[in-house]
Amino acid sequence: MMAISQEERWRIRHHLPDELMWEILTWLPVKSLMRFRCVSKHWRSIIRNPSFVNSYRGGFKGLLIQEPGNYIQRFSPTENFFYINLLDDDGPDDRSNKQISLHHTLEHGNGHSLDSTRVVNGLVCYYCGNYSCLYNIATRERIDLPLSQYEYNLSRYHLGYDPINKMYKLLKICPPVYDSEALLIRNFDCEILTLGIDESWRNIESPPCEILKNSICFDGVLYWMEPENNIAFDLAREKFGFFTTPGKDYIGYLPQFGPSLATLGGTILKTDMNSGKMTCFGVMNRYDGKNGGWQKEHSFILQLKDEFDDCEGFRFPLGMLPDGKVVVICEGTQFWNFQSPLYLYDQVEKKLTRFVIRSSSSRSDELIFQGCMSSMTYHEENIIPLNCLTATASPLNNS
Amino acid sequence: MASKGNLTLKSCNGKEFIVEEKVAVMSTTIKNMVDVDDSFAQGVIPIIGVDGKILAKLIEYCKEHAEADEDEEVKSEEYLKKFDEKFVDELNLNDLYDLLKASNYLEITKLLNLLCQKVASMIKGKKPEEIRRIFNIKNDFTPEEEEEINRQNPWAF
Repeated sequence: MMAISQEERWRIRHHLPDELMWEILTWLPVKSLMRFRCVSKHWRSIIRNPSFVNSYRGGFKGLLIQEPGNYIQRFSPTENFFYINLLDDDGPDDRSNKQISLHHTLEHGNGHSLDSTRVVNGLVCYYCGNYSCLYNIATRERIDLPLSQYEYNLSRYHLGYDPINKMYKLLKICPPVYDSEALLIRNFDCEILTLGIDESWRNIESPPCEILKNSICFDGVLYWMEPENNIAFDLAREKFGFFTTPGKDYIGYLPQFGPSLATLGGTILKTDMNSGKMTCFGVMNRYDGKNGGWQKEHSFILQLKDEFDDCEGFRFPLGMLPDGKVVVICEGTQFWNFQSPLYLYDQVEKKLTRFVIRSSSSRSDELIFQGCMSSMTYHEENIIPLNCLTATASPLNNS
Repeated sequence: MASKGNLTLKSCNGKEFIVEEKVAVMSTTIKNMVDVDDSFAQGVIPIIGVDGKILAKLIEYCKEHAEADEDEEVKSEEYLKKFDEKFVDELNLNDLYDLLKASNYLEITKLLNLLCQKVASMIKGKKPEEIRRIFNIKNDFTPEEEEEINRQNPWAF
């Protein structure tokens, strides 16, 4: 009798029920899922089913560093994203040797260099003037968004997610416009696009003052800490407001670190510095437009003194991960071109672990992390198909 | 008949297993049966469609995890992780399939997740045609349609 392989026997005997197949697929990496879309029409429909997308858990979870390519010569504009894997999936070894994989390439259209928003739920918007596109980092899908009304090159876009209404919104703030007599004609014209709903941009009330920084999106609110003002934008109500921060603000003190407001998905941190040593964090929850202000959940002190001889500069928290660990960056010896080691601070164990970002397996040099230009986000891969975030595309035409 | 705190589970081929209630109720299906109808707690619970060999495997898994839930000191997370790894590594494909179906039917979520992850790791590197062969799936795309999907994600192939 001819021997049949185990695999063959499995095939003959078994037919997996649909619900089990579904369960199994939720654990696959994005790359496999994208490949398996052509297994059959049924598989393809599972993979883009909204409840499958929501229950998907096979994706990468970790940190993402966004380097604006047009500012950093060291990296070509196509190498904007770097992963640091924080999961202990290859053994409980130290994090210093974790390899990160160079993630994606994005071709910039028409030779224009595009600015980018911060990454929100695995999605990012690239933009220039009145053009913007939405990009899914995990699936590498990209769609053009409707053109906005005002074509000012210095406009800034801000992507946000409103978890209550489950909607992504893109906010665009134009620079002020002056006439030849230097009189103000327009003041921060502001437009908004609800992804998947609006077919064109809507005008909304202008922000109360100039906004230059990238926003931080947390729990349905966009936040900016500008030199004079702390501004918030409630994504559901589409209203700007101010917020105050606890403790002393030291905006502009360490420009290379960007705002002292940071989130990595866990919560928003407001950092206070004291005598050049970081001493504590205040932690806040959602900004409430009506009641205004911060609610300090807890604060804690980082014991950083002289634990690491190679790092004498400031320690600065970049944000808190969903598991409560705090990512800390240390200023190196050179002011502008420093190699910043990163640390992970465990609040429970009160332990600091150093980890190094490597750019990819082919480039073994440590990533030069320019705090002023980069932003770091906690990232979970999101396989949401972008056609459900565009209002203009007919779902019937999309395969 | 099982003593108090114990339940008797009976496989489809007539094998009986006496297990502690805390072990048996790792299965949401059994828990619901016991909660709703007290007579199950005294009598024999038939486990339909699960043979003695697979039921023994299920009980082995649930026992470790129920004990770990009770006493973290003795069975740490790390211990459980090692146990899980060994558990799935030792399964042949037929057992893996039977356990998948049984843990799904009995709603043992932790085990179901573990087994699904195992299958996912076995198939993640495969080509679409291998997937069709393994799971006996008919390719209902025209070559043009398939080409189009491949064209959208050349990096995934």
